Amino acid sequence: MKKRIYGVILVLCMIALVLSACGGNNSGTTPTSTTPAESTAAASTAAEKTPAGPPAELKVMCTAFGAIPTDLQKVVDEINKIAIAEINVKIELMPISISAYQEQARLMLSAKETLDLFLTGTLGRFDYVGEISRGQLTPLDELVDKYGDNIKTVLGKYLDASRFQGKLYGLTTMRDLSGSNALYFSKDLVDKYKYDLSTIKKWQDIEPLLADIKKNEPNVLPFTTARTPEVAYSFSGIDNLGTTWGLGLEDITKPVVSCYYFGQKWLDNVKVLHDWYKKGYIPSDIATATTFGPDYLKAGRAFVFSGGSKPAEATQYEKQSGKKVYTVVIDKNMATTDSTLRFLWAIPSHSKNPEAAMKFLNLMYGSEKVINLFQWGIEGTHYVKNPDGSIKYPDGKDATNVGYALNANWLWGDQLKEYIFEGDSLTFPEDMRKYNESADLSVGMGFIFDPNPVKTEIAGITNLVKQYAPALQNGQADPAKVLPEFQSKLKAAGIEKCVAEAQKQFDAWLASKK
Amino acid sequence: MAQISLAGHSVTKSKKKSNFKRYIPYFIMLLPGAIYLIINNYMPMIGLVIAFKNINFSIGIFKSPWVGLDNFKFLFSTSDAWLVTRNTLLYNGIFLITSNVIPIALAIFLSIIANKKLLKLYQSVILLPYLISYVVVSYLVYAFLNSDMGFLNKVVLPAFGGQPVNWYNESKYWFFLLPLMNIWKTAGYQCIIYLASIVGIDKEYYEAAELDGVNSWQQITKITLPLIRPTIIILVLLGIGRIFYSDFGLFYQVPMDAGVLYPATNVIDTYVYRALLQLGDFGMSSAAGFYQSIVGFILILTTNFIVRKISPDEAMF
Repeated sequence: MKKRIYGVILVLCMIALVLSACGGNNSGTTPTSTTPAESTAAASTAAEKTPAGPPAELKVMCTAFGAIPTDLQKVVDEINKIAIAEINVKIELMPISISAYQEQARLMLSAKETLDLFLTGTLGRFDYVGEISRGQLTPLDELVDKYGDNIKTVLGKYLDASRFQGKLYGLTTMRDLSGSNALYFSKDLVDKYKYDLSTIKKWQDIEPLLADIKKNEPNVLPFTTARTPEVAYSFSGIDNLGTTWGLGLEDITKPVVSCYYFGQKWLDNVKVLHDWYKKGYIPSDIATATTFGPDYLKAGRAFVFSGGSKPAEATQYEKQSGKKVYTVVIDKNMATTDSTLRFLWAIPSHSKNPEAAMKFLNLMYGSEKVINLFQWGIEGTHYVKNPDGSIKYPDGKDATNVGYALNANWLWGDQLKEYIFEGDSLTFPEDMRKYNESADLSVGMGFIFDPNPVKTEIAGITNLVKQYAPALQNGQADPAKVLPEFQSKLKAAGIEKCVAEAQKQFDAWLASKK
Repeated sequence: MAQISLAGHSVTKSKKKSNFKRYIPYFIMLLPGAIYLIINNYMPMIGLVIAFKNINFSIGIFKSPWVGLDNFKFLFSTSDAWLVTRNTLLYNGIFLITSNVIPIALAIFLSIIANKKLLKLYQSVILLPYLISYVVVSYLVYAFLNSDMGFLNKVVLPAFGGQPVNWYNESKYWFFLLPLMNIWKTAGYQCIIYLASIVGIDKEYYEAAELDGVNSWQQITKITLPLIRPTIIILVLLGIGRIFYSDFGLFYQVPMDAGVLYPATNVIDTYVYRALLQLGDFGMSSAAGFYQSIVGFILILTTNFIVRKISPDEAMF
């Protein structure tokens, strides 16, 4: 009898345990401390200054590079003060670490969890085209016309860059909207050996310097890269139209697409790099490298590394490595699909508050106050102003303990309205504007390839590219032996069909722009 | 007469009823697990239709258009696709053998150890690798195999007078490295299961054998192995059911996703992951999962059928 009672009690405890575990899962996956807000229906849809009624509540998701700041909620509260006063909208910001972002975005979209505004784009971590083809994004044309005046002013001609088949689904931000390459030299080593950097006109010109360093400094890796290396491609001046399987415009003024793995420009670069690899100028594990130029520089082991060329990129590397660099810009910057559409703000199709989301976006693009709150935090707490207009950390604080640092100055609508940090050039906004305006516009800027008609072939080609391209791109593999194998496998997998499809879409897109 | 038979009838009936009553607590204990299985494993089976559709979330899963077998094409279209199928089967075949032979041997050794403390120590040490995530393991391996500074290239090979090898650049070594790592990681787990089985064998068998003058090797082959046969069959059957699945950590993380090594390290799971990472196509990834599970399902049914023909008691169902 006693045993029976114990048995029943045990069973009841187990059931209670299971039920409590089920209940606890409803708290969702938000990393911030606030509870998810229910989005109330937008009480007023008219575009008035201060509508009556409770503020519409929005959930906004963005990327975080590094830890989530401790003072995030304080800053969001300040932003909300302005947002409620001007447009009667309140936001909850959810920064997700970049490495988990893709998974999180996919889950939230397919589960239709509360989300009103989020980051997407053509960068590898995002899935702009996929989301459009799955019907997960709201078309934005009408919303921008009605509520997006600031956005139109800030973006100008770049507003149309993110159109897909004529419709607008995402909005880019005003930042470095073009890109090119630069070489960053370790100041210490250049001064030590008294190299003359004015003779460097093309990237191949650094070869004698690499040879010299290899001879005299055995512990230094002569040539590295600032981020995941695709060296042969980056130095070739080809526009990859935002794709990752070898499609590109060999010449950015001509509307002819091809697979650049079969082309001459890429091959020339590969040959040079392989030569350097054999001579030992390139680290032997570069294809799988997880350490990059600035980190090597920090350890005193780097001589030159390649990177992008936007204004103030050098200071970024100097902050990261703690050492000084000399910059040599190698080629003219290009505005391409990749550079303009890397980051896009979009509204999910299941959002209950698309008008409020667009109003908030409009506020962010136009308000210097809001932009700087997002980027730098609260004045006085996270930064203080200098007499010349620049800003610096308050006394006793630095980059590690300031309490708020999202490190994403290119996300908040208009980077040119951000305050300049002490040490950076005060003419940065002008520099950036000139940089973007002087860019060579690729004829393919704004073209987004839709892979759905050839997705079977793309699936196979992607695997091949991942197998062969990294080793070839970085000089590790011998092009004479490996490239023919790569090319024949690509042909067998249907690369010609994909290129033909891309050309077809490209021609149609060009025709529709006229 | 009628009365007696009536009485007999009611006795058997009430016997059945009280039997069922006795088992009610067990059914209640079964309930949470059964509910979990139904919600987590059976209800989502409806989603299998995604493998045959071109999914558009704004009109919902069930209204999305059917595309027949289109989503399955990429699994068979390139020569690579057949290569990865071959790799998957090859590795899983090797793993199936090593994951049973070696743990059984280990379990037999462990069962002989008399010292309780030492036994617990050995068990924990053997099990430990199973608990370490492959992400961590991949960095440990990197510390060994790094071509510049790795332990093998800097310390071990020079000690034997050998040349440093660029491990991440040559795919042929990985045909040995991967099974080696798999054994290191999973042997402990399988060993514990087998050990539990062996410990349950009645000691009297061994004592009787000793009295009869049977040596150790014969004891193992004639007593231990036959008596753990049910366990072996179940574990092998489960292994066969997973023959198209691979441990993603082992084949993706440990080789650091190095393209050059793909001929040796690309398996169905990694192939699908790489193919669809950019495309993000749910239909195709569902098709891949469907393909893997259907094959496993057919293989399990077939193997079980064969086992049932040979010795009906030991079949799983």
